[in-house]
Amino acid sequence: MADLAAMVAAEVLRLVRRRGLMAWMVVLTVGVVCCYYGLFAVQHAIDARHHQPAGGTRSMYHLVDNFGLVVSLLAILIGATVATADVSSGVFRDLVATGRSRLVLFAVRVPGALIVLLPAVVTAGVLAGVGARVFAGGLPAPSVGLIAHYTGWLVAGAVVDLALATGFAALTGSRSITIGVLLGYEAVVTPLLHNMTVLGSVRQWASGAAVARLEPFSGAPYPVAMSVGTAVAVLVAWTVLSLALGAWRTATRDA
Amino acid sequence: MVVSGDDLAIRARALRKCFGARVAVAGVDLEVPAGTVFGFLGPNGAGKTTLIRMLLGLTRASDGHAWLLGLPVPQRRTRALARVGAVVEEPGFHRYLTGRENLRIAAAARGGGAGERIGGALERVGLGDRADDRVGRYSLGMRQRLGIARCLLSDPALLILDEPVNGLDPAGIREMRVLIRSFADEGRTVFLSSHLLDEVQRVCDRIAVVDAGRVVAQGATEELVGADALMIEVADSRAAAGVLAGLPLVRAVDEVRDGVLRVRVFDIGQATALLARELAVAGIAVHRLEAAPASLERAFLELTGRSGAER
Repeated sequence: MADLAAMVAAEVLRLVRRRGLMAWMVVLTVGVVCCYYGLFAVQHAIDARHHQPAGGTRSMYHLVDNFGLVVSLLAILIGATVATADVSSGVFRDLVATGRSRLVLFAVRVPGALIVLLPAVVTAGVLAGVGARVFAGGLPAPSVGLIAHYTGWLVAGAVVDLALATGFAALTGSRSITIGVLLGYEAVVTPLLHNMTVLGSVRQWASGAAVARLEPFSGAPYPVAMSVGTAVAVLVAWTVLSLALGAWRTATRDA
Repeated sequence: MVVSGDDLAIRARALRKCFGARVAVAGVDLEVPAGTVFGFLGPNGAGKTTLIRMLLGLTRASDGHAWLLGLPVPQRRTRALARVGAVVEEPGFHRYLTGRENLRIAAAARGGGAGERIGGALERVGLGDRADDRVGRYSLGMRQRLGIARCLLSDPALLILDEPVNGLDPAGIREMRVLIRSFADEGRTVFLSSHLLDEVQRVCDRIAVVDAGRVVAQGATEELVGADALMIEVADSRAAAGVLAGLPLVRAVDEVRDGVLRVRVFDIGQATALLARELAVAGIAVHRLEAAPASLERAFLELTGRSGAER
C-alpha cells in the first residue's frame, strides 16, 4: 500500500512540476471565474440600469453551464499528459524494466491526476457559488446546497473526461491526437448529437448528454431526455470502457 | 569454462523474435556467468537490443526460454527484475524534472528501500552536486550516468547496460569503464551490450558475438581475441607447419605470409618453449617467436564474416 501511495505521489510530482500545465489549470478554473464576475461587476458598477448584478442564481447557472466545457478541456489536457508522459519521454521502458506490473503503472495515473485536477475544479465551483452570492445584489442567490450540487456536477464531468482522456491517450500513445479528438468530440460532436433527434434514444449513450442530464435543473429542458440512473450508468460505462482499453494497451504495448 | 545453471546470471535457450517476416533474433543460446563483466558484441542491427528487451519483458519473445538470476522470465519477471538494473538504449528521463526527482519516480516504481538509495546512487556516479539541476540541462554523459544511478536503486545483482558509452567523450568513456569494473569488483554481474570492440575487450571477462540475430561465438575474452596464438618466423614455413600441426598443444596453424606462421595453441605458457624445441629438433631455423598481438577486431571481423567485405 505504501508502494502504491509513493507511485501516486510520483504521478502528482510529474504533473505539478509542469509549470505551463499548472498555469493553464489556474487560468481555466479560478481565472475564468474571477474574470466572469469581475467583468460583470464592473459593468454593473458603471451602468446599473442596463446591467444586472454580476451574481445571483441565473448568473451562476450561465457561468457553470459554460464552465463545464472549460473543465472538460482541462481534464482532457491533464489526462492526456499523465497517460503519455512516460511513453513520450522514454521513461515507460525503464519503469517496465523495474518489474512493476504494467497495469499498476497505468492504474496509479488516474488517482495522481485526480489529486491535481479536483482541488482546482472544486475551488472554481465554490468560487462560482461564492461570487454568485456576493454579487447577487437584489437577485435570488444560490443556496449552499445548490452550490454543492453545481460543484459536484463539475467534479463528475471532470472525472469522466479525465478517465476518457487517460484511457484514450494510453490507447493512442499520443497527447496531441487525444486532445484533438476529445476536444472535437466535446465541442463539436456532442452538440450535434444533441440536436440529431432522428437518432432517438441512441443519443443517451453519448457521454455529453449523460453529463448534461446530471446538471442542476435550470428550467430549460435537458438536451436528451433520460433518467438520472441511465445517465449515471452511461457515464460509468464510458469510464470503465476507456480505462479498460487504456490498461489493455499499456499491458500489451512494446516498451 | 563450464558453468552450472545456478551460477548463471542470464541464460537463454533458443530465444527468438520475429517482426512479421523479419527475424530479429534467430534462436539465441546464451550463458552469462554470475560475477563477470560479459560483453554482448555485435554490429548495429544484429539483434542486441531486441534480445535485451526480451530479457527485460519489454517485448514478448516469439519463441524460446530465458532466465534471469535463475528465475524464468517472463513468468517470474517481477521477482527477477527486483535485483536487475537496466539501461536500454539511451536512458529516458523527464527533462523538466531534476535528476533527483527522476530517481524518486523510479524509486517509487521499484518500492522497497529504493528511495533510501537515491543519494548514494547519485554520489556513486558523480552527480551529487548536480542532482537538483533539471535533466534538460544535463549533457549526454551525465544522463548516461544518471541512468546508471537509476540502476543502482535496486542494489542490483545484475546490471544490463545497452551501449552505455554511446556518445561519450574519451574522459566519459574512461569514467564509465572504471564504474563498470567497480561493479564487477563488488560481485555484481554486468551484461554490457556494445558495438565498440575496444571497450568490450578492455572491460569484459567474457564475450558473446552476435550477428544477424545469432550468437556466432561466446567464451572468455582471451580465447576470442586470440591471446592464445603465437607468431613464428621460420626459414621453411611449409616444413614448420607440418611439424607443428601434429603437436597435441596446437589447435591451428595459419601461414600469415611467406615465412610467418600464426599458431593457435591450448596453453600459451607451455607451448612457447615446446614449439621452439620441436622446431629445433626438426632442424628448422626459428628467426622469431612471440605472442601474437591480440585483436578483438580481427576476431570479430572473422566471426561476423565482414573481413572479406572490407578487403
